[in-house]
Amino acid sequence: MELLEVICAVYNQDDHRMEIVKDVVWPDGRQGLLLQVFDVTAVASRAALYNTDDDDELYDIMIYEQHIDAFDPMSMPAEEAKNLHRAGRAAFKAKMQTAKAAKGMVKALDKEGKKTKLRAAGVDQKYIDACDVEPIETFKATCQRDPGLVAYCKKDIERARQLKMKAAKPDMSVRGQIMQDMRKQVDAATLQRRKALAERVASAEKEKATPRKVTVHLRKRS
Amino acid sequence: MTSTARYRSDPARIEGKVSLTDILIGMQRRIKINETAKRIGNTAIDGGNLIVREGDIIVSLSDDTEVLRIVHGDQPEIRWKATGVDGDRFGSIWAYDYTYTFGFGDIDTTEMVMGIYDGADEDAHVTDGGELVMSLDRAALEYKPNNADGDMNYYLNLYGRTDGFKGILNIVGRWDNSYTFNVDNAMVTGTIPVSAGFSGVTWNYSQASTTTPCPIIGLLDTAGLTTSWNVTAQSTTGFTVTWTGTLAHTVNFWNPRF
Repeated sequence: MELLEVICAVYNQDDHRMEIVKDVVWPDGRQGLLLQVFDVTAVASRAALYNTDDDDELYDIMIYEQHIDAFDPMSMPAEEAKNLHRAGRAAFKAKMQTAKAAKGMVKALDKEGKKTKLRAAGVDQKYIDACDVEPIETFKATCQRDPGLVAYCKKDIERARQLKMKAAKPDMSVRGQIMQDMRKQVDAATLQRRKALAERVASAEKEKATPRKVTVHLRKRS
Repeated sequence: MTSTARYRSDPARIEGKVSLTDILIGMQRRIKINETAKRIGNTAIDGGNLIVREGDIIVSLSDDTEVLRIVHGDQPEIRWKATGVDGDRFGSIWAYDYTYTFGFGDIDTTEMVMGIYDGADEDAHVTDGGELVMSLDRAALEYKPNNADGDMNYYLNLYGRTDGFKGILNIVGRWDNSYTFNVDNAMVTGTIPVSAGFSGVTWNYSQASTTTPCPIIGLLDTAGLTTSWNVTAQSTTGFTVTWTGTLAHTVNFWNPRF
């Protein structure tokens, strides 16, 4: 598993995106800076997905979302998904603390330590300046959620959730048979149309070819 | 003597002349037709009107506001004029025959169209919104605003039934940059610039997906010095890409959802 520490957060106003800088040690031993980016409206989506309006929890969800063991939050009710995510984050943090301790990496960087690290990496000055504010504060200030957007996301998510929880797993072995049956139906319908058309044409031609006989009776008045 | 016998033995008819009986029968037929036309022309149907005017059939409200018109002529059409907030446009379903030249010769076709049109000149069919076009050798779903904005379309069989050019799709428009409108969007697309100093990027989708989009990544490195890169994580909520070195990159993604 990777070890990470959040260094700073920047709000990119032009793109309406949150950029979070993380110091990461990858499982293969490489160390480097990872830039996490998301549209700020993603937070509204997560608020709806996990049924939470807690800024601290939403920050935690966004930070650790791509690091905890992946699961499908839409295949279960919102409360269950929220609890599973919490458990996943807690497990990851616990493992990470143990791993950090083993590597002697217990002490987190202070403000100046963070700035030094970023200068050494050669990142843009905006990230270095952002170290003056706690990342969670930047997050809270810029990721406030429009209640209307959360409501829209909730409606969309719950619709998908209900469908997903009820849907049966596809049996791929019957796919070939389904395709053959569909082909037969289409062919049968086409044949029927062609037959009906041929009958209409034949009937019209027959009528055209057969002259009508008209009989006129005249009776002399007596 | 029966009336039939009297009719057949009418002396004027026997002599090949028009008889009074024929005249009376003709008059009766014309009176019946006129009465029917008047009834259609003046009928109030639960607060509305049904009118035949210059060959068109018109349904209107009690105040004569036209809401539906069936147009006669070489281009038969049904015009739908909903009352409400937009009095400048109307909906229409119509058909017409025409010949077009597409660089491969003249092609005669019947075309069936459904769309939203500018009401300033109804017969001109100036599209101002969506349109569905079906013709002999192609079909299209179009968006054509009657302003300076660009058109969009999705064309099937763009070049018609021309040998060597059959079966061409054409799509005019653009993909959203990084924003996902629904949890079951078929594609999640976007571009992420990453300045120098970083060895990877994580993107969190603006909406979690119902199933995992598959990251199809293009990594732009203008210096051309990145020796290796990988997608190291993917889920219903985002993906991570890492690379060797710390040069600036742009990560372009076009992720289909399965």
